[in-house]
Formats: sequence, structure tokens, C-alpha cells
Amino acid sequence: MKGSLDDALKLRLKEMIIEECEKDEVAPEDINDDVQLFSDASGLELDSLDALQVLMGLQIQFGIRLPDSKAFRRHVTTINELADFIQPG
Amino acid sequence: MIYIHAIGIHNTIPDNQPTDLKSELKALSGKLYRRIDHFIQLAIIGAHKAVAESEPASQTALYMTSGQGDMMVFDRVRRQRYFEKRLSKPVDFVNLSSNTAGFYVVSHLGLNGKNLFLQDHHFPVQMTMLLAQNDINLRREKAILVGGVDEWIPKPELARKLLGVDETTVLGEGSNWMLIDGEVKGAIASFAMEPKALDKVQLHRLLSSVEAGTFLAFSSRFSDDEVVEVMALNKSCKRYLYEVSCAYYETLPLYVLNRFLTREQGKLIHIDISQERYMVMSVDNNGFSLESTARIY
Repeated sequence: MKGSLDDALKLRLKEMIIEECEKDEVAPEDINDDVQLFSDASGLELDSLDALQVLMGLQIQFGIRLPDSKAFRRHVTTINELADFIQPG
Repeated sequence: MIYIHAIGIHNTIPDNQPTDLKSELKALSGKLYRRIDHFIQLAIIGAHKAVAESEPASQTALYMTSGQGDMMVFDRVRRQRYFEKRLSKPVDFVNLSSNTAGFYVVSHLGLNGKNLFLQDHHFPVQMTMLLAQNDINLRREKAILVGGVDEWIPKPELARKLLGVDETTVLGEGSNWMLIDGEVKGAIASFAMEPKALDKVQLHRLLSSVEAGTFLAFSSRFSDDEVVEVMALNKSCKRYLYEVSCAYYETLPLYVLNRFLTREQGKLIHIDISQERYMVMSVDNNGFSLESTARIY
């Protein structure tokens, strides 16, 4: 199954982002699957330090190692695209 | 002469687990903080209490000290690196430097002055207060927010070894702050300290001449016999017993001074000892208006 169709995986990703970025006031359902995470539209107000935290979270919780910032920008876009990267189906 | 304009006390004896400071900080400041760990939360809470009412000038300096620094983040990074064999979390790595706490405190309070984190193996509070006293007297700084912060470590056996205290010592945590400057107007007390460590003869000479009714407080590094010996030097002095209200942490002397100012009227001399050298600080709130004490949190 493609990651974007796997609700359990997407929930885990959202919970990881909330935990790593200490966004206690955000609930997983507040994060839209198709909105760019690192954009104003997401309402998450994530910055470059959050990007590093998410990078570590992906490595620790999902075993995904992104080698550089280019790879991060390519894959950590929306929840759906990130889920598809982790689980291509 | 140095004058104390506001004080903030945060002092707890955790019961087997660290106290939840995140919600306390939010309730106190109305802000939701992230990327800060327990030690930094502790620092902000104490500093916030000290200046919540007094609104210090933006050029107020911040001198912060700690016996242990941000020990738990150090322990976490060590575990991540050597036992879990992975990189540290970026936020933990940033906060590894203890003076990061000072950055967060000045950001919270909107201060733009000098920001120092001072360490001393023997007398962290006294050496910080001495520097603050000198900088005020030499007019290098107009006002300084001085704080001592120590967190409770959930591994008491390790913490006692680090602190060099015996196995029965109960450990606590605290964040105690005072806003000082050279202006008497609006002050709640005066502060003074001996500019150097004293030997036993010098200490005895000093104490034998203090005015009647002065309170004496002893650091927990004094043995009972030593306290008895010093108290016998001047029978007109009274012992200030603060010990029942707190557990041990290295920056406790600031708590003792602050606690005295919230509960007593008079002069307190605090004496600490390390390697047979004594450091002496005093506060005096005789003659200061009760109106001013409204700024005590």
C-alpha cells in the first residue's frame, strides 16, 4: 500500500513531527495531508531547527536517513509525499 | 553600597520525579515555550518571579550561576552518543551549553545587557555576587539580575557523588534571583559581601564585632560542631534556621538570603565554607519601607 493511503503511517508521521518540534498545542488532525509542512499555510511555524529535529525523528523512528538538505527538501514536503517516500507501495 | 530591588524564589523538593515546570511556566508567563528543558524552564520561572512587577531597564545585565549547570541535557546527549550510538538531537546539542539558559531568560524578559554564566567550583553564588558587587560599585553596570539555578537530578546517587554530599542528604532544586543596583530609592534591602575568602581567624574577628541581634545562617557544608563554635563567638547573634524549608542544592545561599527578606526584618549574615576558607555575604532590610517589599514575589 502506498504511504499516502496508509492512515496509520500518516498518523505516526504527524505524531513524530509534533513530538520532535514540541508543538504541544497542535493535534495530529490539525495537520493537513496535502499542505507543505514548512510553509505559512501549514500554520505550524516550523523553522530550520525544526527541520533538523524532524530529520532526526525520521532517522530514529522510521530508519530513514536523508543525506543532505536537498534530499530533505525533496521528500519532506507534505505528509502525503513524505509517506509515499517512506512507503512507496 | 549595593541595593536589592526585587527578588524571586522558586524552591522545591521533588518527590522521586522532576516537577512539571512546563505548565507552571505557561501559567506564570502566559507563553508556550518549546526547545527548552527543565533547567532552562527553572531559570526562566525564577527570573520571571523576580522581575514580574519591577520591569527592569532593558540594559540590565544578567549574571547567572549554577552548581551543576544543565546536567540532564548533558546526560541525555552522552546517552544518545555513547549508548544509543546516534547523533544528539539538535535542540539538546544547542542547550548543552549552560549559558543557553541565560539566552532564554534575557529573551523572555526583553533584556539587552551583558549576559554572563559563571561557574565556580567552591562558591558559585558568592563569586557571582562578588563580581556583581564589583561591577555595580565600579559603575560598569547600572543594574544586574543575579540568579542561581540548580535542577534536581533523578539519579540521586550520581547527583550526591557529583555534589560531594553524603548519602543521606536530601536533594532539591531551586531558581533564586535578585535584582540589584546602586540606587537606594525603591530598594527592599541592602547587600554586602566580604571581597575575599576569610580564614578562621579573620572570620572570628568579623563575627565578634557584628551588631547585636544579627542573624547568622550557615551553609550545609558546616558541621554541627563548627556552627556551635561560630555561634559561641558572639552570643548576641541569632541563628537563622532555614534548613527545614529546603533540600540541598549548590546555589542554596541565594535562596537563604531571599527567604530571609520575605520573612524577617533585620540583618542576616550568610557564611559558607570550602577548604577551610569562608565566604561571607549579608543582607539588611532594616529601615527599608514596607511598601517596597510589595515587590517580593
